[in-house]
Amino acid sequence: MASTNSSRQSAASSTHRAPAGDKFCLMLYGSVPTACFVIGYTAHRRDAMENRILKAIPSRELRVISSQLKPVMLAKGAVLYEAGERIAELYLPEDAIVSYLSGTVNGETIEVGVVGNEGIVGIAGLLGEATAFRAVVQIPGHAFSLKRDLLRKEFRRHEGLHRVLLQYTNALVVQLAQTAVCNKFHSVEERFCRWLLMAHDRAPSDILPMTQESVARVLGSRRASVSVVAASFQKKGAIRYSRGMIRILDRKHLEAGSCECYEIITEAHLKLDA
Amino acid sequence: MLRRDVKTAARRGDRSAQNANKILAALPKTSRDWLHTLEPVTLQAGMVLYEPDEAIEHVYFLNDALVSILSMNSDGATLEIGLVGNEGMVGVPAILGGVTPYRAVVQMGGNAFRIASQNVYEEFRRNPFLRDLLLKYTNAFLVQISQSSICNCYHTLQERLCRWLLVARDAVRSDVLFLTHDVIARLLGTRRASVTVAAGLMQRAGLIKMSRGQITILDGPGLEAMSCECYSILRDHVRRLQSS
Repeated sequence: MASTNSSRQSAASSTHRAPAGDKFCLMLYGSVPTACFVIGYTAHRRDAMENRILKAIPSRELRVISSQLKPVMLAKGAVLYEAGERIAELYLPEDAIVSYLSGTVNGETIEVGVVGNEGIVGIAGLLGEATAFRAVVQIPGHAFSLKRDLLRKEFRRHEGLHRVLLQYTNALVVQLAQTAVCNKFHSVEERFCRWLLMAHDRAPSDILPMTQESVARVLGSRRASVSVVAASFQKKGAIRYSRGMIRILDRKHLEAGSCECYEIITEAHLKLDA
Repeated sequence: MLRRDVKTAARRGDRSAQNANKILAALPKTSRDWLHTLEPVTLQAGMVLYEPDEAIEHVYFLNDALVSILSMNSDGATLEIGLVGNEGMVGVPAILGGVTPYRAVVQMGGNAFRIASQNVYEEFRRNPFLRDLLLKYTNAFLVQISQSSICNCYHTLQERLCRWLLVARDAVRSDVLFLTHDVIARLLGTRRASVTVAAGLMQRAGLIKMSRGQITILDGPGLEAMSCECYSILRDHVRRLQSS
């Protein structure tokens, strides 16, 4: 129950903060006149885009949807969808990271999947209508939002978009399944390393704004166990944590401590770029 | 069902057969013209339909067979990540244009229709009804994977065994399941002895009856009461799949 309450609170605070986020977007992209925005976007901004789905879509097809991509700022803790909700908008993260969380009737939660700049949040809206998981922003940052109905329409019409989105879905199948295996068989230590590596790959810097409590909720384990593991990796010089953030210092230690799941998931997502 | 009957049923687009595959049965008359390209096959328990990281040659629309999608760890531990029955198709990665590091194994033999991956993909691109049905099924498959993720973590073996038996019963539409404790243990990622203990308790409670290589469900509502919430979540997803 505690976790539900805190997520709700964060969701509320994120709506509170939304205007500031909008202003930030305005600063970043809004000062460009609309016409230039559309043309300039595909011509040279494409290289600046971090999202790998957008990068993989053939430019002719990207032009069709690029005017509909709305830059947004995703605030930490914001709930993008609740489980069972109809999806109206999908999000393509640039440097934000979003968790799909599943829960039991007793209020325990676990992350079933994570989406960063390699993917698109809300693929369930493309496949069907509703999502089965709650999607929560773990690491705040930029993303593009896109209307579900528009994407669904263009997805049917364009071969490249169709291929890229289905390939991503396949990688997501692997990610969800491998996370299931990992949660069942691997230690908190191995899963802690896997999660930090996956987050680091998707984050813009070495600093992950995560508390040990939020890591525990993602891993579906107790905070005390995460503290013990975090302390041992700090001692090895792999990470340094301070209030509300974890800094990655040396990935080699995390790679050595992680299970094979990190590689399996990363490889599945790499196929998209090939 | 005889092979010929299955074939005729497919040609006629027979919706009446109780065990007909739900995806094929949901296709409207106007988009059934490709069904003659399906090849009826009989699947035997233990058959491997695809191997990890190998291109998938054929996809299978199941009528009354039961197929597990299994993960095998480097240390030999196995875990079922998904279960396919007559609500689905084995070979989702082929539609999505990829492979997965998992194996598809027949758990209970039965009838199915198969088609070359290339052909079903072409039909998927051409036929909007088939495309929508398969995408919806893919979504339900994702839900199934992640529901087992949380179930394997938080729920007791007893609860998970009940969930598994109920999902399998719905998938093959039969109260008699031909499965050994050994097979179930591998699917649930646990030891055979633990399954035997849990199943023994359920038999004493009059929920199931066990004989060699066979489990009969005697009291469905009783099993539902003993299962975790995951069963009803999964069941509702399959129902929604079929109602829309």
